[in-house]
Amino acid sequence: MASTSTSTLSRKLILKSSDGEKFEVDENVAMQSQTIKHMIEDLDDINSPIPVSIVTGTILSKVIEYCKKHATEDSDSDEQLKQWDKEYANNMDLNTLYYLLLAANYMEIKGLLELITQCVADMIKGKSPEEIRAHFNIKNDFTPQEEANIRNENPWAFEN
Amino acid sequence: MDFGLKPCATTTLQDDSLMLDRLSSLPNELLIRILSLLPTKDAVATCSLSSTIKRAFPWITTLDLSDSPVSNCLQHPYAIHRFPSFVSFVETVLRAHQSRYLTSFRLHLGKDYATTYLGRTKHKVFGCEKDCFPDLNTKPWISFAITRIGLKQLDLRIHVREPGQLPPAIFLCETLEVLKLDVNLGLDQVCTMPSFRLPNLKLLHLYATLINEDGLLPRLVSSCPILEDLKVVANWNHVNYTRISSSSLRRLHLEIYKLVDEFSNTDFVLINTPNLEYLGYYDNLPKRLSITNMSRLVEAEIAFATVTLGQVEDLQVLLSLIKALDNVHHLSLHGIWAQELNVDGIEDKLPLFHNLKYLELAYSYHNCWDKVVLAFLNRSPVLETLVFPKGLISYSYVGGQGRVTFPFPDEKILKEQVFFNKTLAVIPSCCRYHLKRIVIDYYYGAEREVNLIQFLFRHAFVLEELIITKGHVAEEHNMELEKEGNGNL
Repeated sequence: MASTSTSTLSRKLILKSSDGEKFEVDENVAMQSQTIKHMIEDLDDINSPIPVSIVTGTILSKVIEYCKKHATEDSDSDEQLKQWDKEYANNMDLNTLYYLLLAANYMEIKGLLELITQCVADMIKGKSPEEIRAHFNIKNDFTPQEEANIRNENPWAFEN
Repeated sequence: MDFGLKPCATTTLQDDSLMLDRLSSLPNELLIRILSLLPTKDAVATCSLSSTIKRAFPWITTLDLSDSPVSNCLQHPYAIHRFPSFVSFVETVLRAHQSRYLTSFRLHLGKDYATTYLGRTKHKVFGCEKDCFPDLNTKPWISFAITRIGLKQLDLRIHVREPGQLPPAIFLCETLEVLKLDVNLGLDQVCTMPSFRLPNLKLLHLYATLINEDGLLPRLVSSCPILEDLKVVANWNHVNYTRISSSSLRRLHLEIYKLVDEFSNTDFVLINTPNLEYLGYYDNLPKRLSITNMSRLVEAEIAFATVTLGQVEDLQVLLSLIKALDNVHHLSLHGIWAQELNVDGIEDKLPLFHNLKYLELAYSYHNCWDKVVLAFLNRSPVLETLVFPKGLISYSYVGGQGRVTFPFPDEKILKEQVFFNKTLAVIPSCCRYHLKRIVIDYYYGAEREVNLIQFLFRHAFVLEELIITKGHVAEEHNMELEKEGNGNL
């Protein structure tokens, strides 16, 4: 979890998104990203903006919303935090989730990565392959024969 | 949830991004993560959607294999003809798996221990025939799992026709954090192992058909230095002693069933778990018992069956146990408790339950209530809920055709009647300020019950709720009582 020493609590960092948007955040909020944590260690001037190169401003603001919630210690019980996480993920459309997932992976934010991957997995569960294809807009690059082979090799997976 | 059709709220995303493949275009690493969160059956089905997903599949880090909904049980068979398809599915998956790493392996075959052996009536051995289990050798599958690197969770539910032995190497799997075993595989080889190595194990749940060796449990516990959650439900051949000693344990649940001599008592039980928060314990009443005080204990559920009637030592054993439970908030006493504790002077022998909010007292063989109820009320100053989960009297006290009679009137029952007709001079503190809810199941409408309920009514000044569930022959008494009750509330 976030560092608790007073010197780090007071420090502010500026994060700069791929489309040039800047966000001022507490260091303990930003430090939940392992990627940023490593970048700061190598940084001479803490006041210059830290580029988060592949993440747009819209997505970065959502990432920061998550990190802020998880940086405040002891304010919420585990149960409340889980509920917050659930609502946070449920309020995202598929596109946002997709970019958020890439951002969490790039920025190495463990909790957020687990949350979004679980959310995507839950979307797959209980759906037929056809429904999954439609939901995620998955392009079929198999020949009909190849697809049939996969089904024939594993009848168990395709029965209800 | 409809993620697909919702307009994109994030305006900076380009419109053509809506057409992107939202799964196959993810980096391999993320695809593997997502597939690893699915039941393996779903992951394989997803493989048929694109070659990228298919290529990621052999690297998943979780295998979650279950033969549901197939049931091989002769009494409740379902889709048995599909079982071979499941077996070849597992074999294909294991052959395809490329990763040296495996974080979690779950294999569930058929019913669990409780359904298989305990049947509908808990605590009564009642079981499946041998032919209810599939004929299958799962050893290669288990070996596959435990020879991968980094296995943290192993969850096996295996009941097969020719069980063989559980591979003892499981107990040398140092990376394991969670181990759940519900098997009819033999534990004899495990018992003969000179030592176990489970330095990272936090949770161990073991449901076993037969344990022959008393020493297994204490040895296992001492091999798990950070174990927090232990649950053992097993048939034992004969138990001379049970010894659980651990300062890391937070939850302990033991259910001990005697296979050979159903009524035999364990000679000696030692529970030395000072940091326990939950204790669940079902056994025949042990002959001797030693237990540490557990100042963090919040919940305890204890059921003792069979008793050597009327012996002083039995009461001593019960009292030495209950004294260690004085911190609990939630206490559930089933089996012989109510009967054994309904004796003169019991109140002075009970500890003060200064946190107890919820108390369950189960009726047991022909017990009376006059001493035990008041004793607990007086020793539980903040009690909010009092539950009689097995009712107040036994069905045998109730005559045929709904007529309430007392086929066995005796002195004890008369004394009980007299007692519950009294009004107390000193009202227990919980009755005055806290006791809001009383629950009685199996109500038959006998005079004894009415008396006891009226007694509770007279004294529970802040009662808000009385829930009575009828037994088979309850009749008009019930109605009268409710009317009277409304007046009091």
